[in-house]
Amino acid sequence: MLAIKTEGLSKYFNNKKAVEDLNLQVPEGVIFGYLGPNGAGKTTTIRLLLSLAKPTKGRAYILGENISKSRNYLKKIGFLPEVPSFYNFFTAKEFLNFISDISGMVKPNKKIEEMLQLVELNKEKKRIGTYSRGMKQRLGIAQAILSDPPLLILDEPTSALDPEGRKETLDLIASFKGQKTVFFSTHILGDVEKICDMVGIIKEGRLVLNDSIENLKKSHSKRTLFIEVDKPKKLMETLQYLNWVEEMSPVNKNGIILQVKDLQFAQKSLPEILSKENILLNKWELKEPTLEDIFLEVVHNGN
Amino acid sequence: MEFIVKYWAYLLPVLIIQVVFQIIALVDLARRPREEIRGLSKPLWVVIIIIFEILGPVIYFIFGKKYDAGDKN
Amino acid sequence: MVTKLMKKEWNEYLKTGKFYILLFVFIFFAILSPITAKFMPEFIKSLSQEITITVPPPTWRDSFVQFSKNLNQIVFIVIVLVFLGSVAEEKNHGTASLVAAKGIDRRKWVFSKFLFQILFSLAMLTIAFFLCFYYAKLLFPETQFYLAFSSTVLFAVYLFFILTLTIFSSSIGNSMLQSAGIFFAIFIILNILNIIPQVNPYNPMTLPSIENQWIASKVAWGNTIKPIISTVLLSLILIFSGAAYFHKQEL
Repeated sequence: MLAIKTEGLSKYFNNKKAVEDLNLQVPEGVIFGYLGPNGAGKTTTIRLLLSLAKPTKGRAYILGENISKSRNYLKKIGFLPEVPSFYNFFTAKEFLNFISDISGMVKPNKKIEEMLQLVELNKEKKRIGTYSRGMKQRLGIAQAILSDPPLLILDEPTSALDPEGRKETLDLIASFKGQKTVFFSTHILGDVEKICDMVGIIKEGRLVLNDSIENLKKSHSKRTLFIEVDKPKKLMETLQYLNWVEEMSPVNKNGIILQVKDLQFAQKSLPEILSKENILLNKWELKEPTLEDIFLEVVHNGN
Repeated sequence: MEFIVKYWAYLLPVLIIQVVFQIIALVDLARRPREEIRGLSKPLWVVIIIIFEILGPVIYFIFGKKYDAGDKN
Repeated sequence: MVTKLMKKEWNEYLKTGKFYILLFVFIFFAILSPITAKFMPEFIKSLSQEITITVPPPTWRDSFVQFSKNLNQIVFIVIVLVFLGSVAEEKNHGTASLVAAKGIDRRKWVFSKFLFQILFSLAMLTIAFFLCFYYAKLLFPETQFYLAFSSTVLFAVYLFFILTLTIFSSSIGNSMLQSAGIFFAIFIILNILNIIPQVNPYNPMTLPSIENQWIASKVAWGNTIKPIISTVLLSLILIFSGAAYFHKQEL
């Protein structure tokens, strides 16, 4: 079953199309990175999924339920807003008590203590109003996962944090792998690269990609080789007539970058050629494409 | 003056209620960090709480504090 | 769920000082009213000893004239200021969307706020009434309970309406300021409509003047049924439409 599925979901503000014909598919149990530049429609998508905004067109299903039918599905979601707001007159503990109350938890005290410890707010006795941005972000994560919901929707969970806080948050999200579905938006590619199984890329309100990282790497793999030999000119002359070589360019003094049709075939054939032509091999390197290469390609070409 | 002397027993509870309320407001003001105070400086709020009698603490509790509900206050 | 949400309101009122505002304002003016009634004429006389001013001797009714005046002016303003932000400020600050995203029935959320406000206000009004009555009895032994009590009950009906108008304005406006605009616009329109004799018997705004008539002469529930029923109906319309609007609103 899909944790999140949308069909032609659209949201227009006056004449601006914030989200247009969105067809998201997020399978259960994956960590899904919802990537896009600022203002691409990430927060609008999340507001639609949470029924905080009404779609102009289209439908959405969360854990199998049509979200426009009833709002009961919200009880299965833990939500962290981009800028979380709390009742500032409460302490962290009092606030989590309130959240446990309205989430219908029984005997929540132990769980609350656990959560406070997890986000390192267990010794904090002051009112939330006095908290720093980072502390609020941590409390926001605690309230989102307090009732152990199967689906987490996190809006830019790392954007306000320092590098250390970002790492901690990403580790925490990664630790849910296999137990919960996590849908999180971000404009930081590194976040996705580190922990996501799947990625959706939104650009100007449209989804330009929705795939697993594995598939992405496979389909966009360029099969690029870098070699360094003692007689690069001679090798290039030989290689230019072979049909499994797609592209070739010299680098530095003795280096060549090769793009091949079939990597395994090249791995077998090249040594043969080298020994036949009596060329010395100094360096051999397989160049994997980085996610960044793929994303840049996808975003620029619009898939 | 003669009037107050004559009826002090009746007026006293009114005064006590007002002073207790003012003390509660002043204690709240004293314990609150400066960045949570809205609009005026702490000494000015002290003046307001005292000179506006019963309405001083009312004004303070309604308008004097930031962060009671959320962040954008 | 409603009781859990009300518990949060109660905590909020204690922690933000709203509890003290209402408590102290109610009891302060409850005690002050009979005292003003009793001593003000004498006080005015004592100020001007050269000129003889004829001030009619105060009666027990003046205690409740003062009580009613205070409730309808300063206590009214304080109540409205304290309650007006209840939904709107949570929208403004973003706590409303956090709570709504937890799957709370938003209508129940509005009802719980209203229920808390009306119960709290009625408790304060009851305390205020008994304090006022006790002081009036001390200063004017002939004070009559039935009339004093009836006029306060009539004020309670009016207060019920004012609180529904407050929560309605708060549910619709997105900030305290917007809600205040909505509240006072409706309040002023109703007061203007009160000039029209045909509308008058159905207008909640007529209740304070009926209250004063009662205090000046005698209780007449029979003649007041029309405005009471229409006030209650109008109140129900306000609270239900406010909750329905908030339920559908984008947060």
